Amino acid sequence: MNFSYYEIYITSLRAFNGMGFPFGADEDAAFMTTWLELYRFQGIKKLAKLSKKIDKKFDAKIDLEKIKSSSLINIDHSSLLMKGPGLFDYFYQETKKNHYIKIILNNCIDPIFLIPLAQRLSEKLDFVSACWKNDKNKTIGIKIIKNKTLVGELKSKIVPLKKQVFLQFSTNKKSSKIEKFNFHKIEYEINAKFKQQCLEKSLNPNADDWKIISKLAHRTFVPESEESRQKGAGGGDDND
Amino acid sequence: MLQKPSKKNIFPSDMMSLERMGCRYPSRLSFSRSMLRRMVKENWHIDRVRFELDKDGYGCAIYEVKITKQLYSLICFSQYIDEGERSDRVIAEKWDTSYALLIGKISTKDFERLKTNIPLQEAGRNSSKELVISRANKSIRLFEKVVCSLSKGLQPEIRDINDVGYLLRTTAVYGSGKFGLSDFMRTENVTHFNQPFRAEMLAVYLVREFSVHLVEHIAFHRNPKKAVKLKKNIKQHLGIGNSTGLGMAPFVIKHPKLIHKWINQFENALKKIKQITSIENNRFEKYLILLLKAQTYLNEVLTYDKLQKEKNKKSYKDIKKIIKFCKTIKNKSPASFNWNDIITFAKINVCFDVQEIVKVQILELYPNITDPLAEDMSISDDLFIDSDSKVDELNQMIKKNYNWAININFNKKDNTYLFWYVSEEKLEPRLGERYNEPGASLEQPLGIGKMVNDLYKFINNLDKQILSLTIAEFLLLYPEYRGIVRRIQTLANFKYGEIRDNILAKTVRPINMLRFKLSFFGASRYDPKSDRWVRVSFFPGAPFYNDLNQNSVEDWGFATMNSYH
Repeated sequence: MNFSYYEIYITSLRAFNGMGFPFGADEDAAFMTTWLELYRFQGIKKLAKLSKKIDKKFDAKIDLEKIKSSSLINIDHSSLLMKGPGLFDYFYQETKKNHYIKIILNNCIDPIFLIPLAQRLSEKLDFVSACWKNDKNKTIGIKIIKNKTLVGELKSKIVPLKKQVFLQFSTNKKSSKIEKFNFHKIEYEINAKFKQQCLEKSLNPNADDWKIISKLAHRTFVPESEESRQKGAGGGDDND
Repeated sequence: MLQKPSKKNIFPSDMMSLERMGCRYPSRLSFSRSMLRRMVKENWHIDRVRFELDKDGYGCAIYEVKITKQLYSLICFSQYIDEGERSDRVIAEKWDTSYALLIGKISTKDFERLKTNIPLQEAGRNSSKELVISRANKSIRLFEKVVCSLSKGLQPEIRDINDVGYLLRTTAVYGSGKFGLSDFMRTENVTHFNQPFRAEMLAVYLVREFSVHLVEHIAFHRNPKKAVKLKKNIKQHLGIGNSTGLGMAPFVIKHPKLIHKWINQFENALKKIKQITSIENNRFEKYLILLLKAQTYLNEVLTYDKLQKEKNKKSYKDIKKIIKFCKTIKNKSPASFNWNDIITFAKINVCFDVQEIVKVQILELYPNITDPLAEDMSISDDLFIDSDSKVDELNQMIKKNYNWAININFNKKDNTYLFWYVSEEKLEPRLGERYNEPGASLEQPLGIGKMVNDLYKFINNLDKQILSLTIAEFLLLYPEYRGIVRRIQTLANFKYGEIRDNILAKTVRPINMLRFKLSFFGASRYDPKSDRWVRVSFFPGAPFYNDLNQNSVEDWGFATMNSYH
């Protein structure tokens, strides 16, 4: 079935809320999911798969002292849907201060959710890149320079370990500190034109996955009652 | 010259208090007005290309709108429903008529799809080709009365038209991605409807055309020999009704940047006009006429709601004061005055409603200032976290911008009395009583005042060292505050973005939020049915398509029964 961006977003938002994500964290996670769904990265499928793991287990807290003292951050198999937005705010702050930072995330189970976060950050930073190993043991990279996002398989010498993500942030895309990598094959080039093409075709999550997310969203609705029907919206039909 | 402000006469001037928001009127900046002006300017061409209704008016019609080389179509379905099935509520499942506005010409394949889905409304599915869907019910008071008159060769009484205001009443107009429709981020890029609710306003305007075609068609088939069409002066007084409920209230809270933009444009227009150092005589004469028109409107508009009646009565009286003051100016020469003198006089001497009327009628006089602003009413809804600012700055920001919130005692039950929720029944937005009804644990995060108050207390109860953390660091430790921090920080630059009232309070009247939003849509003839829903009219007094031109598109606000001579 075809859905609009709005429908995917609002249903995901409700699903996150239903799973116990607080206000704000639910918005970020819904944005990440919908963004992936829009650009054909199967955001809803990934969320459906993760839902059991994150349901009623919201934990986005990060040990400040640890991340301040090292560029190696242990995500500890927690979802980026919870920890990603806060971390990216922090990375931005650090990049602004130092102009360039390089981070390694360890035990990251869902690196795909980095793409929307990196893309959103690129509105403020000149350059963001990331790479990781996917399920098929291929190295996937993203490179975001302002309004253009490239995603694809890398033929780079940089080889992250399993569940490891290499990240780079820079205020200057020409910075000599940036470790370059080359794409073996660019699978996605995301820009304004592609966005409109995706919106025109609508979003098409898998029906079973959608059912899972809709069910989670349903938790946020107040059950029907006669009292609610009469009082809740002001009552009366007044057909005149 | 001006009366000295006295404490007794000063009305609170906070633009974003609920009471003030509930006193707004449509203006040149309203979306119905700007859409029609655009229609004239770009020479939009409307054709009725299909009108297949049976003698009782059931069937289908299609209107095509050509804008430069692009075509849009409005499809209208009219069906029989039982009296008992007709309801204004979102929870209704059948309607007399239903509509879709879509991009392009309607193919046979499209037609079949639309025929199946559009009469179902929320229960149907749409594609990104569809921009708007809507439905409308017949007015029990007026529809049949008008059919009867016309079929006998008679015109209905304009008094009857005035008492109701419309033949059909829409009960929802959906766009922007609802139920599979085109998302606004697509609509604004690939269609001519690049302003908020412009496509919706076009759909509503076309539904108004259809309402007249429908009533005339039924009258004709009832008595082909005698039936007549509606006379222009009677027809033009017809608007299209709209029944609006609580759904509009969460919108106002969830789109703070957009709300800011609308008001800011309004204020920008006024600011520019206030800088005009003197008023020309002819412009001043026109202003007096506009004030008198608004006064007549207030006298004529019918509502059964006690509070609204009182409001209208008070406004009618207060507008007299303004007219009297303006006549004094006229006698002394308008050239020695500026518009700020009148606005200031109003601020001191009259109720909020009339203060608003004073302003919207001033805007009427300066289309060269106002109209370009009406073409710039859109803004991204994205809110951002300023991650490298300090918690101390956030704290100061709260003290400065949310003084109204941090001073509320939320330990008092009356201040947390209400909660906003979404019912599982057709996802209708509703309002519950926290201490009397179930469901408060599923409350929507709309109580901004309370959330800010909680955050403020939380920060100030922590060790003072926390104030030197950056926001990014603070949110890593306390991620549960992401939403409210993001809102506070973003809205620091959007002064009209926040309703400066506690919307959880027992005393809150949600209808004020509804009227606020409706005024920007261009709705008038406010007729509240409770404190949670209101009936209004769109386009009353607006020229129909065949009479639409450069002149007629200008002055149709505050339409009265004698506006058409």
